[in-house]
Amino acid sequence: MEHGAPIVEEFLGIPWLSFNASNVLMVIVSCVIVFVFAVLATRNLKMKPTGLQNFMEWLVDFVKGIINDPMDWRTGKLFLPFALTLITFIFVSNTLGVMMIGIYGGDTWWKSPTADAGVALTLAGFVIIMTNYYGAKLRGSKKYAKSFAQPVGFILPFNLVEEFTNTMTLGFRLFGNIFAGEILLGLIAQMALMSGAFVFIASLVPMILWQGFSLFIGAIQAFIFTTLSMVYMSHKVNEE
Amino acid sequence: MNPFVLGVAVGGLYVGDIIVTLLSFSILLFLLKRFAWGPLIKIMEEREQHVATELDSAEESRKRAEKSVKEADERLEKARAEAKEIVINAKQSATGLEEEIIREARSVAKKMKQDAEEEVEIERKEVLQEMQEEVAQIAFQIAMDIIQKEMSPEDQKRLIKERLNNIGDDWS
Repeated sequence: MEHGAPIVEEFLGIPWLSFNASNVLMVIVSCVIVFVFAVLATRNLKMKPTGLQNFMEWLVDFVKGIINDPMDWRTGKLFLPFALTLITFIFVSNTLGVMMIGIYGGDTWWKSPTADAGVALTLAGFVIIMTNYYGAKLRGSKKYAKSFAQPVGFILPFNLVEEFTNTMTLGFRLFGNIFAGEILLGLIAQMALMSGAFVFIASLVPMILWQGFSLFIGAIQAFIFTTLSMVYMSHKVNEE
Repeated sequence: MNPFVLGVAVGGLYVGDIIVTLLSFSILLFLLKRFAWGPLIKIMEEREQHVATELDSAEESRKRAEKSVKEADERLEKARAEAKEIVINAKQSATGLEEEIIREARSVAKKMKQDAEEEVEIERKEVLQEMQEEVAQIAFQIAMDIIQKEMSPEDQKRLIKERLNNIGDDWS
């Protein structure tokens, strides 16, 4: 019962442009959910917060805490919307695949977008690009470029490689955790359908347990991803 | 059916995915910053400022209240001192008045007594004079009687006794 991916090869006849339609769908679904929720929750903002506004303010304070750890608030304030978007988007993405895996016509359509290495690495790459951008912006391009060869010249290749490895570790950590969770969920689902009603009901127990755990992992990974992003950011923007 | 076949495909890296992810995430970032995080952060900062100003003004009004309490205390103390002074003054003036009244009363009484004494003295003198005159008259009368009658010693005695009795009658 192996499911494929809805691959669209050579979109519009362009040879290098191929899609995994599932990823496209799920990324957009995540974005829409996050956007709708965030906008609904921050409508009718009041001085005395009620209901969802309380939750959103708690989230802002939480992310503030994440940013405040590696850098001071004067520069950190700049990255608050970025970090908030990261943590909400990744958490929602991770959760989508925990709720259900949707299979249509032999292809997996509904899953966590972050369970795809491409998406996870893209997010990581985006973060690394942002850190470099802000490093250059806040410290001046020349000064920033020079910082790669400090304190001694021969460290330059290591620093360049570090950018690459940072992207890899950041992306693959997220991908691996979520992907592994989905594999086990898939296996449990397969087991449930293997033989009879009893097995089906009995496998609800590990299913629920693993879903709970996956939810936890999803939250933790969103937190870790955001924290590390901010740590990398602080390395770039802080004068050493 | 092999239970270890993966339920999810690992999938490869597709340029399209990367473009879509970057684009969607950037758009999401922009929209959220504009419509959700921006207003939210703004209102939180506003509240922070509001709380700070409120605290400041509370501190200020506390100071003002303390100051007015102090002032009120001072005024009360002053009023008390004044009241005390007034009472003392009143007492002093009352004592003075009392003494004066007593003194006046005394002097009036003394004068009255003096007057009475004088009157008594005058009356006494008058009485004395009257008596002297009467005694003299009686003596004169007796002498006249003796001279006119040439009486015996018994008669004289009887006459004197009679006259004396008359005097007693007159005097009583």
